[in-house]
Amino acid sequence: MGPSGPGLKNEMLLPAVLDPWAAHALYEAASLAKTAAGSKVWLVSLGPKAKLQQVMMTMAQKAPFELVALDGPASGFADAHGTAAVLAEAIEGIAGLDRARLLVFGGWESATRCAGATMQLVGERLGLVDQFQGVDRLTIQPDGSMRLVERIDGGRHQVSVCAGPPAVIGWATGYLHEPPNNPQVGMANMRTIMPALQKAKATPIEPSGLTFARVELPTQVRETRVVKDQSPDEIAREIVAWVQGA
Amino acid sequence: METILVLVHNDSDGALPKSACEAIGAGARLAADAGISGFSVGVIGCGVQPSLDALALCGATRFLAVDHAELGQSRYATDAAAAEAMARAAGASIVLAPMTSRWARVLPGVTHRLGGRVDTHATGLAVADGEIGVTRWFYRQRMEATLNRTERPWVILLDQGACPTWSGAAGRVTAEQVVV
Repeated sequence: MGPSGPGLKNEMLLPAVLDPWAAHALYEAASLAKTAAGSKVWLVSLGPKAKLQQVMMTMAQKAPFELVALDGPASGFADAHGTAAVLAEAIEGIAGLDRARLLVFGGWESATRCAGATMQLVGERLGLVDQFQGVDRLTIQPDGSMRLVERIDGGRHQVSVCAGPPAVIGWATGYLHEPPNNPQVGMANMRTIMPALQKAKATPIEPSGLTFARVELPTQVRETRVVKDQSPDEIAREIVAWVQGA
Repeated sequence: METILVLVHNDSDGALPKSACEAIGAGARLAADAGISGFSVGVIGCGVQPSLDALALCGATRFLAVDHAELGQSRYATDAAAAEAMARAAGASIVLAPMTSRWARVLPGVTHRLGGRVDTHATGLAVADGEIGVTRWFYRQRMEATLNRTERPWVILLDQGACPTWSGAAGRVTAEQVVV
């Protein structure tokens, strides 16, 4: 716990990767842009500049995009409200963005905080009232409307039809495979990524009234054992006993 | 003094999701622990009277409802408008809601409209030294934290299965109808 709140001592040593659902959102955006003439993908990314640079070494080869880099915290303890504020401001600052045709793609939750709130807050700040979360598939229909398949409770999907952009779409896994690395795309992207990283401005998250009273590792730790030929019933019994603290 | 609203919705079949009763139980307990006399229950959906009646004896001192055919389906724009109107009508400083996919989609945006703050995936609520604390996980369930906020309204989405389910007999409720 530091003066600015909790954090990981080894945060900078964690793997530099785009959050899984955010990565899927990028792949879906690139795939959609390929089929809609005149479309362009911007990747707005918030994180420590050094980490963003490492992330871009991989992501730049996956899909064509223009990076908008924000040099700020990417910790799991960063508040969704402050994060959404700086992301929305960055989107508003993109020159040439047609707000009437805007589709804001992102991961519906992050692996670090799992808030599942940032996309909605960004959307509200941008005045977007058509929002979909946990989206697994987006299909553009012949009349230009969007058919969206969202994850809902009970392992089910909800299918919706939206007249068209603008909209916010928080992606789950989607149906696309991770694109293979394409060095040509990477080289083309790097022409804009390096300047974007160089001019990435320091973007602190505004302090809020959020206070962490306690942050700790779980007290209940399960030791892994390798046991052969145990029946499912026995495994289930052991797990239930452990959950109950027996 | 906090004003607590437990915000629930019925499902497309007209029934309350089980997690709604967990949120009701959490609201009743939080009100008792914080020394607050009573709490409000708001039900949003289409044909909500059976849901209201099912919660008649939950201990709430005020019932509100937004009942409209458009709310028979889960949709961001309509759900957000209804939830915002409900929270304003209740004058709530604390809004408790079950973390259903419907509320998870819409309540963060509603919080922005209300000028408040939201916390999701809450696994516990407690009152210590007069302050309400929320427990949730970070870093893929590798770290657990208890946090509190000064901003109000504070919308807290409770993970399913995290709180005991309220159960009780049904009765007859006459709810205040909130106009959207």
